[in-house]
Amino acid sequence: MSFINPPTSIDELMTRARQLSGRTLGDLANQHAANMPDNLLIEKGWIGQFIEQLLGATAGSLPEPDFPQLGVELKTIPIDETGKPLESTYVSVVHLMNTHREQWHNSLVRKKLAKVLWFPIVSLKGVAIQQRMVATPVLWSPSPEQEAVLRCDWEDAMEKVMLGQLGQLNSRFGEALQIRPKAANASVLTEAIGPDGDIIKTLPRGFYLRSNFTRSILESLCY
Amino acid sequence: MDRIHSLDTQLTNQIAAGEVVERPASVVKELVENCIDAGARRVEVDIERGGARLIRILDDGRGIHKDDLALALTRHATSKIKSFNDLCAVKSLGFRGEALASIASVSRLLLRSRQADAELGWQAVAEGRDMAVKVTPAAAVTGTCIEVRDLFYNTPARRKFLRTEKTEFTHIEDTVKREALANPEVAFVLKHNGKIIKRYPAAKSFEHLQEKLKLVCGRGFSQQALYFHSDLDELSIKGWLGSPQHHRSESDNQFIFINGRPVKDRLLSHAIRQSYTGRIPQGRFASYAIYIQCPANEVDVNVHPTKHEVRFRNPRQIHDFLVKLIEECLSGSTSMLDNTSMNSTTSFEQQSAQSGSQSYSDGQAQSDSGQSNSGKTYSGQAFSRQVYAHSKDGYSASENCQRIAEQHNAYQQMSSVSEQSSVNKNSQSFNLNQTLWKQRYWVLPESETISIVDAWSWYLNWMASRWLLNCQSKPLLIPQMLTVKHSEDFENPALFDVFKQAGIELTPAGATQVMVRQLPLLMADASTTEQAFPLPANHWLTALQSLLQQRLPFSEKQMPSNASVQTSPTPNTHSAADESAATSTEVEHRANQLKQQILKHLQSLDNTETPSRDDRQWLQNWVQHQVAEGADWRPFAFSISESSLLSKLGQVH
Repeated sequence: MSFINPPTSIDELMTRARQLSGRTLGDLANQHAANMPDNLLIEKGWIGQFIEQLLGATAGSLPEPDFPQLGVELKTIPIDETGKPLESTYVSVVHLMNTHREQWHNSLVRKKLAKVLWFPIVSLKGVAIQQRMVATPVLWSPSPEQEAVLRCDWEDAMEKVMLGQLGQLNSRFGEALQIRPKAANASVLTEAIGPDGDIIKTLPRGFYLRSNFTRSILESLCY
Repeated sequence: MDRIHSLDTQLTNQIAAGEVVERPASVVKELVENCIDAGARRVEVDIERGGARLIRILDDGRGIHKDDLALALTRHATSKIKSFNDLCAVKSLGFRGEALASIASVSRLLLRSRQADAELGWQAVAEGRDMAVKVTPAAAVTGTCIEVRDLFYNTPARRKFLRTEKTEFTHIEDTVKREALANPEVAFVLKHNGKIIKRYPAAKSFEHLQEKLKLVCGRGFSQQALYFHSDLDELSIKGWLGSPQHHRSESDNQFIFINGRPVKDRLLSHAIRQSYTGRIPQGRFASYAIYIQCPANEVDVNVHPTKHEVRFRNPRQIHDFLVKLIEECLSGSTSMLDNTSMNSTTSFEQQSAQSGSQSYSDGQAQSDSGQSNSGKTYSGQAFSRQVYAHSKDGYSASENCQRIAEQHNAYQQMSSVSEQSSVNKNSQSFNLNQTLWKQRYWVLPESETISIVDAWSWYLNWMASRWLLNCQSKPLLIPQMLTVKHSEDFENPALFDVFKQAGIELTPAGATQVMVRQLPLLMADASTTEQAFPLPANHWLTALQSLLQQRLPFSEKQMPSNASVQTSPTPNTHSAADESAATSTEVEHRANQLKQQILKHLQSLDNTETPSRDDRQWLQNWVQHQVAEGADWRPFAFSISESSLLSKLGQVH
């Protein structure tokens, strides 16, 4: 598959993005002579990477936006035929050590979510990857209300991390942001602050957006 | 120099509130414990907005005498203790007489109560700086209802410490969980924003209690928990221990109750942690629910206003007894306690949801239970605080069950009465909440006439007036393919511009299909950019689909496509700007024609088909909004007076 230059403006990015919508992944892969995996069990992030390449994103998995010049983060999101997101969306890692320098206004979560190009993919059960359709891409920045919710969740979460109460950051935590272990398997451990202020080994964690939050984003921007 | 002066009542109460009322959950704890002390069999906790807006606690307890209502809201007033001797052996959950006054000082509090033999209920409201209490008659069922509104409204500093609605509600849920487990014989209902979140039925027997344990601690816990029970002199300890394999990442399943009071005591948790040491991985937590009964004068609860901490007269005895018990239970040995010398009985049971749960008991317990090897050893014993206290005095198990059942029935009658009354109240209000007949017609009975409003036509009329004025559009999340019958119409690319002008973006997709990408977006009114009550996408699509089955009248040759503009006999004197202006007005004109056409197709649809994504009630919500705004529905209504209705009915007969 050939290299595509990064877009120079938001308009150019959006024009490219709109040209992809309504087409199936198989169709797009054929057009760009890209190799498509048969299933996503191994190459879980293939769809996201493929869309990134088609739009000319450069940052890869670096801790900066996918389109650094434009400050836009790309997020593919699987939806069902009614437009409901099928899973929560990964945002960033949770820093478990040396958290004292991180405030909401300079946090990774806020940076990542400042401007997001949502790329919904209609992913029905039992439908092959080739047949999955790219739905309408939308550009989103959090409204003041949405940012307030995110901030509240983030501050609560970081307080728990600081006090070593990682156990309380379970799946029920958070209105919009969720914290879940993020690792290849349960033996990958990282350092964190323990309940008594000592250093313990624990699973790395990631911030995720709950699916009802992403759903409300898509519903507010689209029919 | 500043002089010393005494603080006013409001301020002293607020200072006390700082200790007791930390967050909405502490209000719930204090008020629920009042309900328990009042002998309630059912407690309903109704929360709005995480408790910041409203905490309403309803019980069916003894109630408060009318003359005491005002006193109840003042500090250091209580019915629970009378003398120093009572303080040395507190049998109720509360005793300080501070909670209500403290809560009243940082919220808008309403206290409504009726005693069983009273003719009517009374309510008290504390207001103003000096907390003057107004007492007025009120309709009430037997029991007490306390409403705490706008917690911390007058202490902004404290209000800032409140977390998100969700976090605060989680704390409340925890509190209710603890109280429900501590008082198994009381039924609890927990609501948040009008929805029932948790329901804990009263536990009348051992099985019920296990059921409750499952509700509170989860199925995983109740399936593998070990039951133990042991007495030492007047001290009795029983409960469930999570097996060491089922350790958790947090300490949320740890419950200790002393004489029915949930506590978080260092001495006891230390004992339990010590027993689990080496059995569970470091940094993980055991689960347990442990009930301790001891004489009231053996334990001092007057340590801290929240009463989470307690002091034992003989701490070492309790600590060692607990450690020994738990270690034995966990290691599965039963023979270490010497029954005869310590006058104690001990039994352990492995419980599981599967029928074949083994029980291994020491001699005495086996002869007590004898009959089965399932978890029914204590099945006959009603598990309630009062029953527990009295069981030695010879109440038989069946009597206890019956007593509780009677009280339960009495309560159910009461609750059905209150439900009825609430239904009546609703029906008195305007029938806006009534669903639309066939998702379309709003039936509106008035004093003299009955009207049937065609909400669908009304909506389309409202929508048309906005659509014909502006034509913004909003993308369709999933672009949809529509089939075109007369594809020759779409050979002229200008047709797509006309659609776009009407707010509908189509792109060609093959010979006989178009893809719909955007649909019109209608603003609530010209001044706002906020859209309101959009027509669900599927209605647009259905109307478009039926439109595309016909020839489009405005797609004929006079369409200003590029080709026709070039060949038209336009005089050269026209500038290019004029031409494009003429073209754009032409497009606008045609777009308006198109809108009229689509509206006609919409009119012939109805609102009955409702796809999964769209809100089933959108039209009804719109009607409610319009009525609230005072819009006129009469042009879309058919009205008939009672007299003409009667004459019609007469003709029928």
